[in-house]
Amino acid sequence: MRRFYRKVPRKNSTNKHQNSINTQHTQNDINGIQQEINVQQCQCNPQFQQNQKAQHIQGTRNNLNNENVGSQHSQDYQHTQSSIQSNQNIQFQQSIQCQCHLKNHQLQNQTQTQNHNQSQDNVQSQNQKTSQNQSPSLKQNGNANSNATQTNNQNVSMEIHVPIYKKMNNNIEFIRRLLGNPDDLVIRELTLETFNDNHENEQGDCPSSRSGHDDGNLPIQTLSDPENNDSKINQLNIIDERPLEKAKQKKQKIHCSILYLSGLSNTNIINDNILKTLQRKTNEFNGDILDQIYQEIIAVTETKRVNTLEQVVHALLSGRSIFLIDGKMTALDMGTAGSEKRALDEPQSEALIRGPRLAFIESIETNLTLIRRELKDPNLRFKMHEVGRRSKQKIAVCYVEGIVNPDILDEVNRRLKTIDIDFAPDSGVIEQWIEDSFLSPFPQLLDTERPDRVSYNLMQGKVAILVDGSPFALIAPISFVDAFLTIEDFSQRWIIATSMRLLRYFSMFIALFLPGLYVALISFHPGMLPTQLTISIAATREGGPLPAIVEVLLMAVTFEILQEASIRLPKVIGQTVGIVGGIVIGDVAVSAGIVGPALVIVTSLTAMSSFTIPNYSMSIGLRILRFIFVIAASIFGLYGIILVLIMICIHIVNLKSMGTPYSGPFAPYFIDALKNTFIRAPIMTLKKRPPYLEPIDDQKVNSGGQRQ
Amino acid sequence: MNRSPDYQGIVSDRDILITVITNIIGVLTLTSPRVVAEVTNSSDGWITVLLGGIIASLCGWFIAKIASSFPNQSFLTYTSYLLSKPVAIVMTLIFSLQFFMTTVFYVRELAALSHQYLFDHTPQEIISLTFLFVVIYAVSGSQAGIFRLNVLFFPILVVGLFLVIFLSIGLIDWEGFLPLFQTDFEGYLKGTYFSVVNMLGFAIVFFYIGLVKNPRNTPKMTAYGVLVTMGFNLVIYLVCVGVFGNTTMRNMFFPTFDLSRTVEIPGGFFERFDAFLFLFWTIIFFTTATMALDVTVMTLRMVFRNFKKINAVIMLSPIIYFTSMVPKSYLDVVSFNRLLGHFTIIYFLLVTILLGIAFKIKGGNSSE
Repeated sequence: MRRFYRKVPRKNSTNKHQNSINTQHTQNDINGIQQEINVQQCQCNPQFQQNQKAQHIQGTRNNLNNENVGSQHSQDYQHTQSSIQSNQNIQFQQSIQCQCHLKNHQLQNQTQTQNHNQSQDNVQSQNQKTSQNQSPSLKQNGNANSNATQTNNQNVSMEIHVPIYKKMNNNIEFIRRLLGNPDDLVIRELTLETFNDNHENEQGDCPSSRSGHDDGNLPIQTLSDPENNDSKINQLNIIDERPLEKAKQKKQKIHCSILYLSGLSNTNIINDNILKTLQRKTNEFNGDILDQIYQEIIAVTETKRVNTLEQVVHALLSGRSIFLIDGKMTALDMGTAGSEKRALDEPQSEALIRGPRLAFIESIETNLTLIRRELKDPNLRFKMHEVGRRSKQKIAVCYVEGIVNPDILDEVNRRLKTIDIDFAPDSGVIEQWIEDSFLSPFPQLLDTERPDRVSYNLMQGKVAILVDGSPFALIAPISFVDAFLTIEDFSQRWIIATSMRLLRYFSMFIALFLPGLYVALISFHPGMLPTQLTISIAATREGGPLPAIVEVLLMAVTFEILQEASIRLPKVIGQTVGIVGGIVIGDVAVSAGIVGPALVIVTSLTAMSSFTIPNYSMSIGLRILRFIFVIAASIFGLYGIILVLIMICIHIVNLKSMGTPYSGPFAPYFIDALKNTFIRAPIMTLKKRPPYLEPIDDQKVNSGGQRQ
Repeated sequence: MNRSPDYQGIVSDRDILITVITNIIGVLTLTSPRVVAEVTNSSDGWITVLLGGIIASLCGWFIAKIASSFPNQSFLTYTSYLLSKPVAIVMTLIFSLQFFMTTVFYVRELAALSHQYLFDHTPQEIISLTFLFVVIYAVSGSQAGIFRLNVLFFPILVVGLFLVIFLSIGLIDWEGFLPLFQTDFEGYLKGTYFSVVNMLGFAIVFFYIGLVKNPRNTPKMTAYGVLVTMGFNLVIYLVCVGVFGNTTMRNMFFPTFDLSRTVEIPGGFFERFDAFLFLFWTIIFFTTATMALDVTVMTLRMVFRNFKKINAVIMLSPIIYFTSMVPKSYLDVVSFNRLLGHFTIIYFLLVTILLGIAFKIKGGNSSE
């Protein structure tokens, strides 16, 4: 894992270069916007200078500008950092990057024309600083690298601070261009009336935007410090003239807009709880308009303020809606996400007769709710991660604090943080990133679509991982036997449940060994079978042209093809496959004299046995191993089978699942755990959690017969 | 050898108990009824097996006591402390040689056994080679893995032995036991000697106690392990005598294995039970050979610290293979085994006495 992890920065720095060179297109686009903005800002200044409040404004302007300078540089710096960290959308990186390049040049011009001698020096010095900051990261010096990896460890979802522009139209234009002017981006513009004047707003904004920058890393502060000093001098002049401003309050029209992506958002909420309440608002606004809207008007519980365009875009893409106000550098991010979901359904791959019939769906929120609904424990924890550079999927690590072994939990979290992919289509991708051995045929994390199974395993002291967009939860750490247990074992009385378990283990052995045994007994040790049986089998194979190994492989591969085909085919045609496969191929192959009837029994029994394994991943793993047994048996007979069996055992004892031995309760012999793995002892006697997990609280609460 | 903290305490007392049992039960369990029967009359061999077992368990308890006085220290470390560094190095190397030879013997023995009972045509070289590959694969893994493997195979071993014993009980001719105490003193002495040789597999505790988390109970566990094995051997011996009689047994090569050939499983599905039992014996041989090779690698790496485990295994494996192919006939293998047995017990006694005396004088240093 570590190795992959180190590679990331290098790749990205080259990416960045390529992007900056190759995609002149987007650069130009965004340069355009930037120039516009800068021109506007430059034009603004003379106008304000004629005003009474000129100095005040200029002060804040300068302050802002300078801060922008600072922030731009810090962006620059951060950008290099973040590009190393590479959590960002590449397009977004480009935009910010060109913005930064542009700004560096423009700012020098700007400052020269405005004759800000002091700040010019500062800017230049900052440019130097920036270039200094940039160059080592480009050269991939160890310093920058380690720095980046450190931050990456701490904070997976790194944010770039592109502050929201003052002009609302600029923001909208920026978002539009960034998203490629999509049709489903809905922008509803509104006009509100207020008593408040602009300057108060600006004043109100400044601290917030500044604090936004202060939230960032230390280098930003040091970069923008000189600017702050500069602006403080200007602010001193302003204070004297404040009374004059307050007197100049007048009615003003303020433009604002609601943005969301249709389809991702719940339009009803937006219409009823945001738009309607805004339109119904009769009395005018006083004081901070944004604050008032936030406090009094927006009727959405999950609402927060955001300061950067990156957050805005991310919110939009997550289905939330954005409320922008002209002249404000803060936007409201409202939780209106509500796209279409699949209805809750029965589990498709883990059906059972007796037990809850509920399965996870693709939405992680619903899945977490399903777990919480089963476990009303205040110690139930969901730790969220984000994965996918482009998909930004949520991953939830579920565990029960006080039961789970903290070492296992740390290990799970650590591994999840190393994941670096564009998009995880299913939890299976996550599973392969974080599993211990990628060479093993066995699943090292258990996948299940049953919430009750997740809850049960959480109670055992295990950790569950849910991935947004996947109806399969992952459970870790597991042992070999976990794949053979179903939740139904606990629903039936213990004698029956134990028999079922033993039957399942027995059928596992059949699924693994039977074809191999057939080959070994037919070709190597015919004397081991009763004479009558040997003769009758030999008689049926009399005319067969093929040796036993070829026969077996032929039938086994045929069966695999049938199985694969029946998965891919639509359900309507699925039955046809059953007829074609079961009757035609089986019967006709025998009557055509290609294979013996005994082999058809062997093949079908093997197939049926492999379906008794409740976990599909384990079942397909064993299917592969079956072929190895067949081949070994064709070379060495029984001896070959036993050698392969020993090798699989060696593999299992050396395999680990999240650092705990995969041979689980069997090999580090915990008799207590055997009660609930090999057999299923009466539920009253199952008082302990599996000891190989070393849970903190190893005693189950068990007062007899309750579902755990 | 300075172990990193990861390697400390990977083994529990119970693992030692199981490992001692799986390690002692091996090729010699197959042949020991014959060896004992050769020097005793009638069914008197049980006395020698019992005596041998008790002596062995006392020895086991004693060496485990010495070794467990030095928790989490390797054999080389505490031997250097008790005796001196050069002596300790020589001792360790001789142990490596001994366990190396044990591995060689098992690799060859399995081929011989399979040749006799399972395949007539398959070349022995191939059988040995494949077996050696599996052993190498096991040893290349972690030591904790080897212990888990022992524990995993333990039930298989017990089930196999019980099957052999219980299915043959119906065939016992009780008159075969009868004239008791017919053997002379020399016969008892020799029988006991062979029984002790048979049980010497517990010598591995010298090396594995360094891995035990809390070796307070380990001496007791070692002694139990030896006693349990002695119980198995005793019952197997008695059943063999009962089924075959003393005279027949003297002329059988692997009486224990031949026992399974006489057995008929009710139900009549399997005509020949011995081929299936051969699978059990493959596993039993495998565990013993794996432990032997692991100890070889471990002792070598005590002396040559910079040797990587995987390199040591890869370098040793061809030597093991070629050495195992040196004996031309099976008789050579048998005489080789007899020599190895004599050498093992003499060397073991020497080391035990030396360490025991030094331990009495210097005492343990449990605080490192």
